Amino acid sequence: MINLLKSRAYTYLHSRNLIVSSVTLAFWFIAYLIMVVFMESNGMKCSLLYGVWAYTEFYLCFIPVTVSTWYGNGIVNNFDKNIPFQTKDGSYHISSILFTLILNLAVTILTFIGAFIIYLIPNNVVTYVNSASEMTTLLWVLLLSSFCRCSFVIFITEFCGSRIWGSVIGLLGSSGILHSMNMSLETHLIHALGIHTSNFPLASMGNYFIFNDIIPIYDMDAKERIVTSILGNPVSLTVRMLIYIAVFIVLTIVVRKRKEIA
Amino acid sequence: MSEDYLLLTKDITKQYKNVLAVDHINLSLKKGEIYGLIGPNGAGKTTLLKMLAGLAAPTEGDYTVFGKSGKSTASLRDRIGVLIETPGLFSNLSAFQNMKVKALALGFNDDDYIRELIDYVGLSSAGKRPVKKYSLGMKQRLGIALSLVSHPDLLLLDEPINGLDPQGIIDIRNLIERLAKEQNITIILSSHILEELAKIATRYGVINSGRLIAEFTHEELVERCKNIVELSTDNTSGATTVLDGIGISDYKIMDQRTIHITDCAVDCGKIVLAMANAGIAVNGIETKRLPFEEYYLSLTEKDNKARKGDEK
Repeated sequence: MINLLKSRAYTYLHSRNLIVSSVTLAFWFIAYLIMVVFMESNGMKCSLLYGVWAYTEFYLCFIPVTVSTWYGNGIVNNFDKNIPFQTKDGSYHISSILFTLILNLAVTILTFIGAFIIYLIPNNVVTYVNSASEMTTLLWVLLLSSFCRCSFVIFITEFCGSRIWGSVIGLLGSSGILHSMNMSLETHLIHALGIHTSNFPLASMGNYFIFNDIIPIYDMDAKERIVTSILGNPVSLTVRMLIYIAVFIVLTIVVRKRKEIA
Repeated sequence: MSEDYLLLTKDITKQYKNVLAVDHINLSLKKGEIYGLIGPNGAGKTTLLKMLAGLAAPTEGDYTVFGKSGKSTASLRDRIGVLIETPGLFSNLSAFQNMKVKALALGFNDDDYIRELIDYVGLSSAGKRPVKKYSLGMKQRLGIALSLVSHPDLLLLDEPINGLDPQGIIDIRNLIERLAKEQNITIILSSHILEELAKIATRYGVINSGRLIAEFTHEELVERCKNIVELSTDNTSGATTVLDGIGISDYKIMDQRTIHITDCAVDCGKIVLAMANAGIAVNGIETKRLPFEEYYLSLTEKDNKARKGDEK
């Protein structure tokens, strides 16, 4: 597995994907830095918690594009046919999932670092600094949220066998657009598992809402976005998101296995 | 006995819903052989090679590679080189980078050997050009180089000359011959062009509708194609009745005036006499070499007829 991950890392380091992703994230960082430090967010005051959440939003929106590329590399182009005995252990495909999750972890952490650099440079924007435990909870939920989107896009890319569809459906699924459909699919899935009555908050299983619901809905005309604590129970959020991630990773493996048999 | 063989299949079968792609094939391959797998499009060649490469699971039967079968074959990943259909390549990477990706995946990290291989398949002049700018022949050569990256003992090449121009075909053929001679690699090579396979293969298997219908060595092929009798007559239907009457059944009507008799042991005098007795004019009769392609077609046609007979 280590060899396969090394191979994938080599491919990524020599691909244009790395350049495109790095340049885009660098632009986002610089633009945000200018906006916060030099333009003082056009007078909009916020708490540190809100600032980090808002900065991370960009990467979370960017996930469908990056993840479908990371995951699709080496599968869509049939490179897997160059590696014998795929039906025996499927290690090449498992390495694809692992590699994507590792990259997601790395980029999410980089995003957090970027956010802290921007907001900890002396500025007149952050007027409330949240406690360390509140910030840690936020980072944890955001991290899991990125993995939720990541696993969803991995599944869609595998299911469609296409990076483009992975990106497009991933974008729709990660945003609020497919909320009703997501909810319907989740309900059917849970119903199919034999659970006919539940108090489980199905709608919030949609990853878009996990991400958004942790921050209180704010007034667009408000001059300040001082969020002192995140909404929701972190333990419950964690459990729900871990289920979400596991379901889509398992579904991806099942779909891949079906393709191998065919 | 099975230790003598590098590859053995036992009733290997692949069923796709309503299609029986590979039907109980028993194949055995010794070290150093170049085995030519010949069959029409859709005969099951690619599916068979995919199963042998562990890229598709048999629905029935099993196979043994290097004496190992079942799950243990995954440990032999680096001993088998595959080129199934077209090679899977990263189009924005160069030949070296594509090779490096495969080498790293299989646990090899010898840049000099990769450069040697690129040189060996004649791609060193391509330099750092991305693969998307390669011709089809160059991509096929890179595909073969990729399959060699782990120093394999067995090479599975699926129609490596498909779609190539004459020069490309010659290049690939020479490359395969060199691999077998210089590196003593055992090769299974599929094609639907027997004439091309006959230039390199040492043994052949003819596959039709998923079944292995004939196997023969190169010497046997040459012997079987050595002689055919070409009979010219204006009355081919009458002539075939006469041939059936004197016990000759291995013939083929080529056109309205020509019949090819593939039974090498026939007596031309006896045929002429029988034709004369039946009042059929013989315009000419001569012994010729049977083209390999025609021999292969006669085998598949005979199998198709037998199948139709069975279905009835």
